Amino acid sequence: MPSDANEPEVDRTSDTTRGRGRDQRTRLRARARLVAAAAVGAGLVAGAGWAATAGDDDGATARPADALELDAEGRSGSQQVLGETREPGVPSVQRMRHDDVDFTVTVAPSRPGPNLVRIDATGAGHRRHLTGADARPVLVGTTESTELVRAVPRPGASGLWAVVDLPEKYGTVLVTHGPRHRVPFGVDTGFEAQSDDEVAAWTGDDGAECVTAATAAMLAGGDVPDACPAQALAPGDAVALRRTVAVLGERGVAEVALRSDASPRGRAASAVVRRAADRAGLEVVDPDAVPGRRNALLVVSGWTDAARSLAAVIARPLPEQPIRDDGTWLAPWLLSPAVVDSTAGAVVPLDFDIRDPAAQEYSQTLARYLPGQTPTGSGYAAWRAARGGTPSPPRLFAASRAAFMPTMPGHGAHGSEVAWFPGGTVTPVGSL
Amino acid sequence: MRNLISLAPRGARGRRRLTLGAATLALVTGTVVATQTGALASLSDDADGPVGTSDSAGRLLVDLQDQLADLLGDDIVEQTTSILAGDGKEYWLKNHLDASALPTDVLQDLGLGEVVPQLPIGGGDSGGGVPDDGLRREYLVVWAGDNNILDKSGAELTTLPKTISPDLIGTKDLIGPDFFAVVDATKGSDTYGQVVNTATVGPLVENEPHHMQYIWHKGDNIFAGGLFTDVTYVVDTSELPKLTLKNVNLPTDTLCGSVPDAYWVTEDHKAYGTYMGGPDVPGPCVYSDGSVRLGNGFGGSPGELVRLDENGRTLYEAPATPETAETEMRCDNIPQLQLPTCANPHGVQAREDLDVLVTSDYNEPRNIILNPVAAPSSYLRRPTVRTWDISNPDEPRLKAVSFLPDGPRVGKVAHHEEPRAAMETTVTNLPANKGAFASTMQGGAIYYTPDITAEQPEWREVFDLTTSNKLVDPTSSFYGGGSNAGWTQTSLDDKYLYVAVVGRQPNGEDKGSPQYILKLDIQELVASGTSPQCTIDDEAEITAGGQEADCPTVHDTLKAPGGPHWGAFDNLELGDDGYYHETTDVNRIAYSNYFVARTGLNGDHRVCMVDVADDETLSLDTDFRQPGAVEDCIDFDRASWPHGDWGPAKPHSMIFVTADDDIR
Repeated sequence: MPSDANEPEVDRTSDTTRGRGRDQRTRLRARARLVAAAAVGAGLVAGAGWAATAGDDDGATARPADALELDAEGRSGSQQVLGETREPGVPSVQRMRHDDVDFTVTVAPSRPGPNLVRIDATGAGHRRHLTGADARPVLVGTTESTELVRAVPRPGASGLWAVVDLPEKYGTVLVTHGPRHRVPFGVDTGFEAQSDDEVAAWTGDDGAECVTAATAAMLAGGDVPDACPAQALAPGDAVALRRTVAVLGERGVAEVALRSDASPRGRAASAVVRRAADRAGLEVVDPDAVPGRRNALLVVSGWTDAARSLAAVIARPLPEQPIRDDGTWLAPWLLSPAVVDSTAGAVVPLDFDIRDPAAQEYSQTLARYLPGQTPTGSGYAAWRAARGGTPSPPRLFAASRAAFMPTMPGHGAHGSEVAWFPGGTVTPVGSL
Repeated sequence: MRNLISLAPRGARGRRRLTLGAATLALVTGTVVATQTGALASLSDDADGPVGTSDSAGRLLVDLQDQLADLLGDDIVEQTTSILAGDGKEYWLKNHLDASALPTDVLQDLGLGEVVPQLPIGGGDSGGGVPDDGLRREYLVVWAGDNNILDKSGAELTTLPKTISPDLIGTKDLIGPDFFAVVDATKGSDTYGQVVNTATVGPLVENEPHHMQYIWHKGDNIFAGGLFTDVTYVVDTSELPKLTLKNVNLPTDTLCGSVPDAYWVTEDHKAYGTYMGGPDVPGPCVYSDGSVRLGNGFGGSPGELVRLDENGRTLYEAPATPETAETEMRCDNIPQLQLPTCANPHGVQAREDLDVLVTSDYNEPRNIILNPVAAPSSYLRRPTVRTWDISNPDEPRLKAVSFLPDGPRVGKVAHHEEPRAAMETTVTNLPANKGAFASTMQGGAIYYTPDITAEQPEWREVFDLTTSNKLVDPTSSFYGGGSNAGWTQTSLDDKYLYVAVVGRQPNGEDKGSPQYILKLDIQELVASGTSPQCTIDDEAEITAGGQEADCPTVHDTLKAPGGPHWGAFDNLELGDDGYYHETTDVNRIAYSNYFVARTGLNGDHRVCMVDVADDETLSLDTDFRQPGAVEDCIDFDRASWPHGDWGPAKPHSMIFVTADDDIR
């Protein structure tokens, strides 16, 4: 186990790392270490032998010995949370307890090449190790001898995230936050390569939402959806946006400041909004322009852009923040705590109520199986689809904080990490 | 499982008898009872609204084994009342009466006499688990929220199951129903301090139950608000211990306000409600008087005052802010408004004889919790009190906005300055008096105005909680800022002022301030008429109390570990005629230790009873506790309730009530 001084270099400019070495030297070293690895213990021997044999037989590139050790450790020590086996192409969700911390790690799509890794850490040691005074960064890689990257929050999503490059057939995702804290997870990746579009969908700005939807569908007992949410505008969301713009027109709004992004969903949503605004006689303006009277901000971009842009506004001194008479309105897929908490209250059209029994079942199941993950509209939509649920007619909801005490210095925020809106509420306020 | 013996409304006894007979026959013969009471469901003729009484048991399949198991150990009788609300949905209140805790005469008063023999409660030939003691019952109705997984942090949610199954969640953490707990508050009763009924509300969960009216009078319905759902529940108490849902006022019934906080019920049984948060949707809102204010949305600003009829229907929405900016002190709004306002009304009390109502502004509710991106402003805590003209009771009109003056104490943070966060206000009661008090939660001070009928009432600081903090615990960090004054209530004879002090939590070098019930003697101050001399304007008065002769003095304090936020007077006394009568000579109060869990000010979830002695001192009533409990008070952190094993609950407010037939 390396000491602090020997801790691998961390690339802090990128959340992507390359996987195992592929050169001959590594291959030789791997074979040399295989014998030593075999002596570690019965379980480890079995795992290492299995991995080495499998690699040879299938023609996959041999792996470094430390990778084999990690792989064996990961396969024997972690618990598969979703699904009974590791399956290539199916996001892998595993949990391992280490030093009073429960690490729940999601790897998607579990194919060779870049994979998005989500890390949720909960448990008694969580605060001490990850958020306390002696907290260390969480690093993610494939082995300790290869490059590790720091797992970082993604705007609009809960958890920590990193992108790692996994090999064909088998891979190991190593999560560590210091030399004495290493938590390996085995992943079966198979041989089917990802297309560039698939890589972009899983690891790009909308990757967190994609992983969230995929795991929610699996949690509901369904299959991984064919496409990520940001790859198309759902018909129901298009209807909700059209009606939302119509409501803005009926309320006398003059300007719609439209915030969108370049995703297929964002482009389609933008077109829907513009057409609806044209019909309602509303002017569509730049969201960064100084608002005129009766201006409403309508955000139809993805989680990342929405959270980032909204947070940038409220981070400014209050007198410098734009005054929008008609507030902030969000697209349905933006019901993510980390998005709605990036602004001081918003209106969002939804085809469900978070208090519906089905929505409660989703949020509570999520809390039970994937602790640390917050419920989201996109996750619930995938859950509901997998369960064969039916959307309700869209209504307007107010997503707002509703807490009443200043948090004292040193006490931190006490809001729930599992609520649809920690420290707040999502309440129906009107029809569409 | 519990007994699923269901009840029909009065007038349907014949049908009920048949049904119960069928159920009994099924038990005896071992036949599975498929449906018990389909014939029981009936609609009331109540002209007040679409109130119905339905039989929940009729929907359920009950097999013999469950029935027998129930009969061995459960005595719960369920009854549901439901209404069809304006959104087309059914809302309900489901009683879970614990027959083992009720004497036969009470059961008979509820029309349950014929049910009793079916219950496993023994107690002689007439059933009843409690002997008929001849006492008419007084109840403490507590509005409580289910404490569940959403009130926890993720760190508490780490139990990993071995396998995945359809039934994933235990009921303890499951989001459960919020409820009214009906507690026997009858001194001398064998079931004193026992929860005899829990009436659960549905289908809305996560209401965050908050306030009811301050005091109950014969003929009043209960008005109970849910902060997060923006709903006011209106409940009929006439048949206590059973409760009946009369109406629900939905968010769309009060478009210009949100986050209902408190209620004041007037002599005509109608009510005023303070809606602390802004309009449901950001932008302009048209009030009942036709005027328009721009608001920044749900949970924002400005709030409003709502006039409700006796069944909770909205009669009038009145703007709490004038059409001009409020700028005397800093009033921040997030997001900003064109016209800044401090209008977030929280406390509310009225003097109908003076045609005046008073509200106090607490804060812009949604922006108080620490923002992860940018710290919120101290100036969201409001330093304002508003007086309203209610000469036309159904059309309240804002009369004056008063900014409470700053005091001599220098706050460690801006929102610890004396006037900040005017959570509560309370009027004097006697006809000769026109004064009112206000307390500030973060400011930790008490204010007084001698005349609320003035065009612009003059408020002055008359007490700093630093004084009483030091008295209660000289070893604490008795600095008054952030002492978190809550319930503030003048005694009904205008001699004393009660204040529930949650206290300030320890933090680093700050040892925190004590938790207690404060009782101030205000007789000299009230007697000073329109010329009070008391004012806290000198540093020495911060700790020593006001120097002027008419300043309030500490009459008594009662340590209240657990964090008391709310309280209520027992304004009912049992007369020689065996009936209850209203009194102004209050000899009991109740208080609760809960604020709002998600703020981190959670309390220990206990409801306590306090005796007021002849010398007006306070003592905890140690008899008021659950049977077998070793700790004082009613602990709402418990595994089981009459409505099931839903685990801990969060009691915010309470009120003393009797059945209509038991009060004269």
